[in-house]
Amino acid sequence: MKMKIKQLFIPALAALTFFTSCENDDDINETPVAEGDYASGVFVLNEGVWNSGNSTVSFLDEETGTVVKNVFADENSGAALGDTGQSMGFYGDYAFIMVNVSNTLEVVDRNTFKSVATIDEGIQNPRYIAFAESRAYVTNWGDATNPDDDYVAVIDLESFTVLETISVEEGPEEILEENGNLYIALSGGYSVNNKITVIDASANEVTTTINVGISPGSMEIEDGALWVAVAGMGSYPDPEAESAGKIIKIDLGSNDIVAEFAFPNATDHPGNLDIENDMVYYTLGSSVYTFSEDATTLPEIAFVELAEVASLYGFEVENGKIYAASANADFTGDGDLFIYSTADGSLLNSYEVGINPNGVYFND
Amino acid sequence: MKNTKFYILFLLLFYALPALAQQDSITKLEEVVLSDVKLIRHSRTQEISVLNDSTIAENEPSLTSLLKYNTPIFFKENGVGGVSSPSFRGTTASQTAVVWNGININSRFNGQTDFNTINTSNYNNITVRAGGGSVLYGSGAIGGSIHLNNRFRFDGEFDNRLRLETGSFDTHILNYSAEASSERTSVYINLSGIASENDYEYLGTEKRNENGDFYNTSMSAGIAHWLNENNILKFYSNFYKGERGFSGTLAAPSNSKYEDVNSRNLFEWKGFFNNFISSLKLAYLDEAYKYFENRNSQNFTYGKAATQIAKYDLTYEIAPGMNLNALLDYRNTDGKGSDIAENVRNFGAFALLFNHDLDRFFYEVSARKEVTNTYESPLLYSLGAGYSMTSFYEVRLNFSRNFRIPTYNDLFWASGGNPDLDPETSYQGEISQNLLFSDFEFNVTAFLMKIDDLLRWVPNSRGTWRPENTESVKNYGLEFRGKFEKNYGGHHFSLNTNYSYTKTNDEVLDKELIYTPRHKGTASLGYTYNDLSLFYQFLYNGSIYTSSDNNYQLKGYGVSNAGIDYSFGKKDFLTLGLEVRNIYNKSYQSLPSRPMPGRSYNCSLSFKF
Repeated sequence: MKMKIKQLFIPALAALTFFTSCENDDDINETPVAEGDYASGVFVLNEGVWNSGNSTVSFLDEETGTVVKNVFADENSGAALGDTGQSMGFYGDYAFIMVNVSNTLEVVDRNTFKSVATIDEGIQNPRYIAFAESRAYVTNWGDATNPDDDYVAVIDLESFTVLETISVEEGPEEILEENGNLYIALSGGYSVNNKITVIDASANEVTTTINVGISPGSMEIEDGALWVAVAGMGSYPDPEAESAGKIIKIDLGSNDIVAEFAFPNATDHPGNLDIENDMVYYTLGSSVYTFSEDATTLPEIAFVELAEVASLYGFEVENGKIYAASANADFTGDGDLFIYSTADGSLLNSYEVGINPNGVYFND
Repeated sequence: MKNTKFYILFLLLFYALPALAQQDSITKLEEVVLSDVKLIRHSRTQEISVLNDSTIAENEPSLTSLLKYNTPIFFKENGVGGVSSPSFRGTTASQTAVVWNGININSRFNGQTDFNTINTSNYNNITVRAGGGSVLYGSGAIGGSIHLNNRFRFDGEFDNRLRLETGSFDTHILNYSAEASSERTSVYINLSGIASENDYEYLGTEKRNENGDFYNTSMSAGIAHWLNENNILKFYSNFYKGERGFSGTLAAPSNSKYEDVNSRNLFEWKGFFNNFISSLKLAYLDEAYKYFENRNSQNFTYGKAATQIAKYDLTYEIAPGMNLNALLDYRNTDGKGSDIAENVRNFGAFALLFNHDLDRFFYEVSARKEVTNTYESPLLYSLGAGYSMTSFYEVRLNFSRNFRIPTYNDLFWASGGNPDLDPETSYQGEISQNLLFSDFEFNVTAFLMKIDDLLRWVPNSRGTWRPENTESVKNYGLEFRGKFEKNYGGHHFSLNTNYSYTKTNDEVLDKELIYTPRHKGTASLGYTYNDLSLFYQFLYNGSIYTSSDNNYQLKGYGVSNAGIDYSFGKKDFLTLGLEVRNIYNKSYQSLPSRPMPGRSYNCSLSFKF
């Protein structure tokens, strides 16, 4: 029975799988040219199969077209990364991997992928990470069936220990930092929630909570505004209650919603919001849509249908390319990373990666 | 470890000359003693193997342990005591039917039976019937069916047994059974309880099997009474209650818990009138589970289903050795759960079965049609024939069409249940040859099956998971079974072996199915001398693919157990036993990231009075 229950969580998890924006990486990329086998290229986080302990990180060198499938094990004497890698984040020389089912954070050197630390105290159901005030902030669901124990863990980046926890409402997902403030999408975890909460990193306190609509997910900060893909109510548990999502823009000066793009159909649940060259990209199912940041209406037709993608698990737009990570059709075998052109939507390349790839990260 | 007269008879019925089974007195005796006569009468062209009470006692009291060491069936085990599901001839967990005294008891929710929730000591014998059996046993009898049987004796004996076991990882087992009978009335009862911390070490790591504790209690009881010379009433009952932590894995902790309660009651009235045997069966099955993601919280998900069954079966003996059976079957299931709104399903079925034993040649033909309000049901049938060329050589052929119906979860799950599903269907055939000598028996069976409209949960374009009738698979393979028994001046030796080769193919991907080993073998060697008996058992599971692209494998393994028993006193009043499991302390996993225990010990104390 449990497998079946978990199987049904997969769609929920997949729907909630959004990606740390490249934006906050830019702030910390002003380090000297790094050396190491993985200093320049693309990491793909593969979550593996739930409860099989086979999550991996693959590395793609786009110049040579080579993929190293299991970087973590290769560089750490065959050690396993753990169960269900959820997301990654980068700070200084470090890469952080939130390993959701194992309840751990793996810290590695971002250029060599040698293990630096494993954080397991104070971490329960880790989701996403952001950095502020020389500290890491990790969203945690706690016990997923308990709506009242969700929190943000504040982690010291020297000792790699949890300094304190900040209690938040149910289901904290993606977290972004801007000007010392942390913006957290509260999508609800196993349940549903509808807010963005703001933490002042200098005080480690929640300062504001903004109502945005059901299941805020993928976020991006651009030009002083926070863009959020609000998924809307899914068909689970009540198909009758399914509702359309929207895309909203919040002014970070006033924390007011300044633009709202509603979708027409109850079955429209936007995800994977990304902004590149003043264009907003998002997905509905495995179709990619795009519109200009100052547009007033949503596009009516898709920019490109990702025909090759069996199940869209990971998505990024970077340097004129769309990176789409696709799970294998029955979720037990190796997935693929498909790369498309933002110019005309054509497929440029594809690479076999690990099992159920759910995130694409650029190390450069 | 003594064969009762009954078992000698039982074995004779299975393996002796067909002519023997035609004698009236034996026919009647079968009908009275056995709960499921069809398992003998209408399975003659298929491979049947009976595991009797001495084999049952030799193994841990879970159906998983018993079958993995004694049959070709492969088990996917989430560690010891966790969820365990079979793969029989390369099929999925819901393509093996579990049949309790003739009644299919697979869960209404997922179509499977968790083999760790069946306590084997509740039954007198457990029979494995390989291959298609949907005409007789309904949904899921594709890979084969497992039969949990109780029987009645009318020999006037009174028999009491008490067994206490204690073993590694804080495991304690208690079992009491009693049987009493007169010429007209027979009763039995069996009570069992198991509790285990089950916190074994993961060999080669610092970790333990955390949160894997389990306990369960079960009861099995029955009464039979002759009303007069031609009418007998029988009542069987079985109850199981279990609570277990679902253990973590090598990479992940867990604190979830699963509770389940199953009860089964069956009433039968059997009448013998000239050439007719009439049987009316009424059964009531109840299943309920609760799943706690966090065992310390009060939040859980649940499912509950009640099934009522009425079966009428009329056997007409056209001529000696020639029988016609007409069978009417009605089932009503009412189920609901946290993710399933209450739903009632009704099924009706009609079946005709014909069998004919000629001197050396025998054949059987049967067909069944089910009618239900939820889906289109195909015509199921089975054709079989056999020929005994000599007293020691027999060849048999069987061809059948079988099915598995969509489950409650498939049809009604709130977030994706698909009411438009069709049943999975299979065409399958097998040919088997038997060599039977006084102390040596050898069987080889070749099988081929094609299963279409396989039910699988797949995400649609919007990311919602829904079950669909998807691809088809083709499995074929070979099974060998060998049995040897010899007495040298009081020294009794026995050897039982199984080997199976199974090749599966996903017809769309053209890859092998996951979690189906190509090779599986078992061997058990027994030695008895006076009050002493020793056994050694060995299991080999070949490697399995864990991904549909066949890029990932879990390696194969061999495990051995050994045990010694010594009986004291008159009529073996007391038996002491010691067993060492996994004697070579082999580190192995049955599923990825799920280590199984290293060497462990078990002591038992049995009283018979």
